[in-house]
Amino acid sequence: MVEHATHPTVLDSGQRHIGTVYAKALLGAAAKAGLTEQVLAELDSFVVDVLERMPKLEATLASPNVPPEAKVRLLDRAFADSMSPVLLKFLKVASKHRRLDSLHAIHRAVHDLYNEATGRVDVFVRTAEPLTDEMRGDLAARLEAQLGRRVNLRATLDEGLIGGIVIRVGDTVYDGSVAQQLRRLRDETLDRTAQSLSQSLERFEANP
Amino acid sequence: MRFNTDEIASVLQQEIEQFDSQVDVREVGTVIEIGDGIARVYGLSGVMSGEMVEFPNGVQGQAFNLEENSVGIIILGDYLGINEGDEVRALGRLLSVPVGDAVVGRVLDPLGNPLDGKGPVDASQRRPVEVIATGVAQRKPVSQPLQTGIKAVDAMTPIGRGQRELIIGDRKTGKTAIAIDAIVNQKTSGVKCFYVAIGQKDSSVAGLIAQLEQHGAMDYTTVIVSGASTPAPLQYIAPYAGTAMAEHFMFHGGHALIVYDDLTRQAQAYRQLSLLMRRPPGREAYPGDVFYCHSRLLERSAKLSDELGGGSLTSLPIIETLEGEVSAYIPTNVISITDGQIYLQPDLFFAGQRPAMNAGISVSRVGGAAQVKAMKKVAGGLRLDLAAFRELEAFAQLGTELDAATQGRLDRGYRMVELLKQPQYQPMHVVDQVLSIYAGTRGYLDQVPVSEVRAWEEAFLKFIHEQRQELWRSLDEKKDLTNEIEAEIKAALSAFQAQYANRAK
Repeated sequence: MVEHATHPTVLDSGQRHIGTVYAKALLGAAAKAGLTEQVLAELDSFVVDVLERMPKLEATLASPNVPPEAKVRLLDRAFADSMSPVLLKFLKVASKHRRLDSLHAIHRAVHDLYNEATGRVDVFVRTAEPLTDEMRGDLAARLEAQLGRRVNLRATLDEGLIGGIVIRVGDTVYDGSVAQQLRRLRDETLDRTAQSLSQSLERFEANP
Repeated sequence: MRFNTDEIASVLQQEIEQFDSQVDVREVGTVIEIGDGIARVYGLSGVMSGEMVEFPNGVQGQAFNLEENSVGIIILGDYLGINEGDEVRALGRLLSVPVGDAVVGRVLDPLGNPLDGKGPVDASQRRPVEVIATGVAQRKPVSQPLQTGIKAVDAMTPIGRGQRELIIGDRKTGKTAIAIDAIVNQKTSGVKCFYVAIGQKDSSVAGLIAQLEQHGAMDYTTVIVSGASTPAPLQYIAPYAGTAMAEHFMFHGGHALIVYDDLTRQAQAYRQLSLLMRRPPGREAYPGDVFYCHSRLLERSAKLSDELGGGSLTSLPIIETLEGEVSAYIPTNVISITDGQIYLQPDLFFAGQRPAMNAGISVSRVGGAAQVKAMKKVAGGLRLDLAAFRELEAFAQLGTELDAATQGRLDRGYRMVELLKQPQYQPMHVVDQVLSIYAGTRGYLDQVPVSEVRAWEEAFLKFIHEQRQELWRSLDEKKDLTNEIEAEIKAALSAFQAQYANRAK
């Protein structure tokens, strides 16, 4: 069996598009049943606790060699008791359409769409030192005031920043890190010094 | 020289004191695909077409294709250091190059980085590479001549300042030689020259720069090199970058000459980019907008109105044809854009006629307006006469008996062809050209054997410079063939004929 090469940086725009289409359908069905929060939590758990812990199950579900009927039986046996019917039906439909290989994209798209619908925004924060709870609260409050939306703060540690903070909202990055400032200081100083050197070389001449 | 480290330290300290910390706000994206000089980037949702972006290793790129889910970037530099997943930052500005006196005499890459090892380009000004050409109201008809110093060109297809004259021909027919001679001839005219080498062997460009240096032409010339080994995006932008540098002089009231050597390669680089970007291919697999690629470039050559300083930018685009096929896609496009073409033919080249210009299909659509009056009077009809001679010559080869008049026209033709031959790197002053061609068209060469024509011309010009300086000077001053001057030329010619006949004996 061919193993699927998965790489965290792979971004397939085609898959993302498929993910958005299925995510819309899932959110619509969940909203109709009045179970949006529950379905979302279950999908999170399904992706994080099941798929990521059991790569073989994921490979089976994604494999085109396994017939869809077998996948449906597998899903029924494993989750019929524990999963809400909306999500289970959705997984079966996705299986019949041979789209179970796009589950990660669907998961991401569901979150993006839900955030958009509820006025939330994911904010990725990188700092050189761990954020305290107090700092987190303060940062979230100030970002919410600034952006006018509720904020999901996702913090990561990056010692390469030396100090300061890098905030990413959507495609925009606010870089207030010490590393960036040092880089800029070096570039500007080099530029200006080279300029003053070429303008008046005699100024730098040592007196004999 | 020894450096005073304290002074350097004080400059650095000053810089550090004045440095204000700012939060750097940038739009970013992620590389999802990379290769062959292009990258596909996810994100960058607010990026504009043509905006510059920066990769983590410092290489810059330009947003080329804006698609629904991704942005196509052309990478202006080494793309091997970029990886999938790298963060791409939008720079919020357009591509620009350094301009001004600092670039004159330099050899640069299309981004304005020096390639000649003469230190950084110390330019205070920059100019965007892509700008819209000046409009109708800002222009003036072409009226001043741009002397190439080549008899055949200046007499039959005169080039004016602000004109676009295409040089077209097969490989190895002397296309570059014409352009280089035109550059060498600008030594005293004050015209700034720009030579854009696209997709050429680095060795031939190096040889060419050495020739320019040897003839003192590098003092007023800038060479922009994007060799065959550079990625296609750089070859694609090279002509625009060169034009931006040349335009700077035009907008400051000066005159500039730019040579694009050659646009066939640029079109091929653009085709490569477009196909990699999955733009639909058209005729000969070129993208649909390859015409616009050249028209917007050549339209930037102009003669500005007096309100804008009356500066000019003349361009000599070069196109290489395959087996004389001028009706291929790119040649027809560029022929239709330019104000005339100089067509070079391999059979003429190998027959020893250099420059190997075909007088029949070479034209200059600006024509007489860009010729000094004297030349206009002397060379009027020369092009058509030569074309007729070529026909007659072909007919005469059939071995038919010819009447005296036809034989006379043939003889005159052979001598004119001989007279229009000119070695490379020896541009002629326009007055010398007028005198030579006057002698030829007025029949003073009819009694000279064809093999002696060039020696005769050399001796004649030497005679004028040594013994008729007054005539030379008044012709240079008036640039017109007044009755008195013409009478003087006639007198000089008969005097010389007598001397020449005596010397020959």
